[in-house]
Order: sequence, then structure tokens, then C-alpha cells
Amino acid sequence: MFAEQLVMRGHNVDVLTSCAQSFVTWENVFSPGRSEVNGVVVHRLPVTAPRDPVAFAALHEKILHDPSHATLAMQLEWLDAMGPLLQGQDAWLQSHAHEYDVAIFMTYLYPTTAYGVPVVRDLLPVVLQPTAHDEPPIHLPYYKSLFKMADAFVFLTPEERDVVRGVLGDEPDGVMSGIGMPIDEPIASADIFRSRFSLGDDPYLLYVGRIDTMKGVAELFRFFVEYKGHHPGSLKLVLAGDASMEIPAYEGFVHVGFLSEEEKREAIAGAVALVQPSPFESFSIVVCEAWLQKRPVLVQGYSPVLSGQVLRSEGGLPYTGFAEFEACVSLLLDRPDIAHELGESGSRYVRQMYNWNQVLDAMEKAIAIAQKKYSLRNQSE
Amino acid sequence: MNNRVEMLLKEIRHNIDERRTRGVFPEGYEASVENEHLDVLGVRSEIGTSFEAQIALVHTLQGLVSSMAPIEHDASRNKAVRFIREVAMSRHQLRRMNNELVQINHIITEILVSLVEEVAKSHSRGSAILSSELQAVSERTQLIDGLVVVVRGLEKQVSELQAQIQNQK
Repeated sequence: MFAEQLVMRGHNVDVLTSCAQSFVTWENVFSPGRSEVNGVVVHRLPVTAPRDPVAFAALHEKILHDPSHATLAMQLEWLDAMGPLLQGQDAWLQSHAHEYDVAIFMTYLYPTTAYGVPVVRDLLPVVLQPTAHDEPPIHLPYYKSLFKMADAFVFLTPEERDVVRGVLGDEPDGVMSGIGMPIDEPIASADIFRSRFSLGDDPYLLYVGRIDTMKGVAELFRFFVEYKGHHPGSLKLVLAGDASMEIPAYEGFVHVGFLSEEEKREAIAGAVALVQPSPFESFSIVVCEAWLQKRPVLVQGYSPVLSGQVLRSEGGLPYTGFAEFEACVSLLLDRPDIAHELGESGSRYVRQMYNWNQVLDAMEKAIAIAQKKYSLRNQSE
Repeated sequence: MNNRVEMLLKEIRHNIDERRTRGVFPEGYEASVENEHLDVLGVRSEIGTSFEAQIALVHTLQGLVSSMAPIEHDASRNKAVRFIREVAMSRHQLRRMNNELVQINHIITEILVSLVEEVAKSHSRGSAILSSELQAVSERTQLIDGLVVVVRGLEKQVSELQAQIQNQK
């Protein structure tokens, strides 16, 4: 999508990627070689081997127990085990670098970036969009070195910049960008969704995403059941997404499974609010999708990224603990005017900040910074 | 305060305080509802007796550093992680001061080592994450130059830890 938008702006964009589809197995699915997708030239290299989950898990646990003390050899072993390792990536980058003005790497974590940046940094300006958040791997010394090699960063949020600043120990050069959102989408109607899942006119809170303890859903279940104990009524908690944990048998929970994009919009449009309970997020797209439907959001207040998003947008409420969850839900149910106001604010924010023009302007600015720094690097060497 | 969300939150928190005062949330009730989250983030279900010894060390520390400037609070959800980060960062600050404070540094080191060992011994879900975090923070703070960290928040942290211990007993 990003590459396609850059092409629509008049840039020539090639994407170097793997033949894999799953970030869990890295199994080769696509054919290697050159193809074209909506004006973007795509070069696929095969993954050398699928991930061995047992070996990787053991190594992962070992190295992340004390990331700052991991030896370089251990870190490289961990990176190799995580994958994907692309067959011939270094040679491809070295032989084709002269064809490009800049290299843009997306996501700091994987070997494609971790090994790719050191190869091209002497040949091209490097822009890195790290999509970082405060997680154990980012404290591996290798990543500090990697971040130092980037000429410019593109950050999704100010909180992400803070994390990278903490790792670097210095102010990173770069720009704040967001993720381009489809801001022209119309407000959906929830009638079909309500009918399909027999929701009638009942008010509901909506969760969209993987139903997983680590996403804060267990806490959400507990809070919701407790809320209903204090406030009996027809309020439901609608859960959209694949479940990787058991969903308790409770009459207020409605699991609707995986939804198409259109169904998701309908579900959001009919919700009292979208709830995002995850304490570990680098950016929440579904929160922006709720705002596009002019619905408010309730977010995990202990996530700096989510709290930052709602405070900047004024598009929802962060809750920390049950008492605040209860008070926020009651406020949105009892004061639809406030819910409407928050949804409108969120909508304005997304349309202003996350439109493609804004995002692409930021990327072009980052490229200019990288080119300038690369030029200075070459002069001084 | 012009931010609409902050204004709403201020009102919400004021109302919550009033409800607490009225006894709507009995003592221990909120903590019991929030245990799922703490479990995910690696708070141990049991606290060993050595924790009390650590608290005693922190009391000693408080006496030594009571004249310091306000601390910049860590935003971690996990009280234990927050506590450790602030103590660990304090060590860095103290190292920059003078030789008279070497004694304090030793105490902090002892606390950190003791806490890491405690966490490593526990089997609650997420304890590995917490243990890793403790180790990383402890070592990382030794490397950061120019970080301004102070210690006044320790007294509050100690009180919170004591309350936490009491609640879990």
C-alpha cells in the first residue's frame, strides 16, 4: 500500500521481499523473481529455511533473559533462528544499490533489516521506519548499532520516537508520520451486522483483534463481567477476531469471529465504543478505523502509545484499572452527546494526521534528511 | 487545562474518589478485579519473606537520600518494574555525585540483585518477562550518560510495595 501510494506520487519504487506469507513459519509460498503489482516492481527472494519454532523459542528465552549482556555471536544466532534469511539478499543489495536513490527499511526487528542496513549504508542513504515499542529484543546491543546506521527515521508516534531515543541515547534524526488511512470511506450502517448476530437494539462495546491474554482481553473480560454486576442491563461485549484463548461462557459476550473489512466497519459503526485493552502496542490501526466511523474509543491507559493517541486526538478515553473502566463505560452510555463529540474529534484527527498526503510528505522529508546525511558522511570519510 | 479528554478524566477520577469514600469499592475489591492484568505483566502471586528485608534496605536508603530532588516517575504499569527502574536509575544518578554516597550505591545493588533473584525463583506467568526487564534495566542504567535521575519518589514506592505485600498476604 505504502509503495503503491509512493508510485502514485510519481516515484519509482521497487520492493525487495521474501517468498513467505507467514511471519511465524516463513514457509516459501510465492514464486521467486520479479513481478509487478499496481505499478510497484516486486523482487522476491526465497527464504533459506522455515523457522524451527522449538529451537527459536529456546534461544529466544535464553537471549532475552538478559538482552544487554548477549554476546554478538548469540545475537546473530538468535537473528538467524528468528528469520527470515533471504537467499542472496546481501549480493542482491550490493549489485543493485547503484540503481536507487535511497533504501527504506520497514520494521527494525527482522534480519531483512538487521542484515540489510549494514550492507547498503555505504552505498545508499538509509531511511528506517522501525515500528518500535518497548519490548525486550530492542535492548539487544545489535539494534543500538543498527539504529546508529540509519540516516533518518520515520516514526509512527511520539512514543515510538521516545523508545528509539532511549536505545540510541541520543535524539534520532527523522520525522513523525502516521499510517495512511482510507479517509474517504463513508460511515457504515450497522443494521446488517446487528441482524446477522441477533444483537437487536442492544448497546455493545466492540473489541477487534486477536483474542489473547497478552492483548489485555482477559482483563477486559473480567472488567466487563464486573461492570455488568454493578450495572445490569442489555450491554454486550462483541468480540471480533480469532480466539487464541478460551472465551468464558457468559451471556454478555458475543464472539462473531473474523470479520471482513466491510463487516468490521459495520460492527464499529454500531458500537457504543471500540475497546483496545492491549498494554503492548506500537500503533493501533483499529483505533483509527473507529475514528473514521466517528466512534469513540476506550483504550488501555497503561499503554503510553494508546494514551498518547487518545489525548492528542481527544477521540476517546484511557482507563487505568476497573474503577476508571466502569466510569468511562457509564459516561459513554449515559452521555451519547459526549460519545458523539469524542468520535467526531477522533475523526477530525485521523483525517488531518493520517491522510496519505501527510504521510507521503513526511516520507519525502525523511528521504531528504537521509540524502543530506549520506552526503555529509561521504564527505567526511 | 484545555484538552477535553483530560477534563473528562479529571471529572471521572473525582467521581471515583467520591465513590471510594462512600465505600462503593471495598478495600481490596479493585485489586482483586485487576489481578488478571497484573498476572499478564508478571507480578508474582506470592512475595517471599526476603522482600521484607529488601523493604528494610529501602528504608535505610530513604534516610540517606531524603534531601534529593523529585524523581521523574516511570510510567510502567507494573509496580514492581516501576520500582526497580526508579531504584536502578537512582543508582546511576548517585554514582555521579560524590564518594560519600558509595554506601547508598551498595545498598541499591543489593536490592536489585535480591529482587532479580526473587523474581527468577517465582513461577507466575510472565515472571520471565519481569526478570528479563529487571536485568536489562539494571545493566542499561549503568551505561546511560547524562541522565538526570533523582530519588525522592522512593518513600512513596516503599509505601506502595508495603501495601502490595499486605494485600497479598
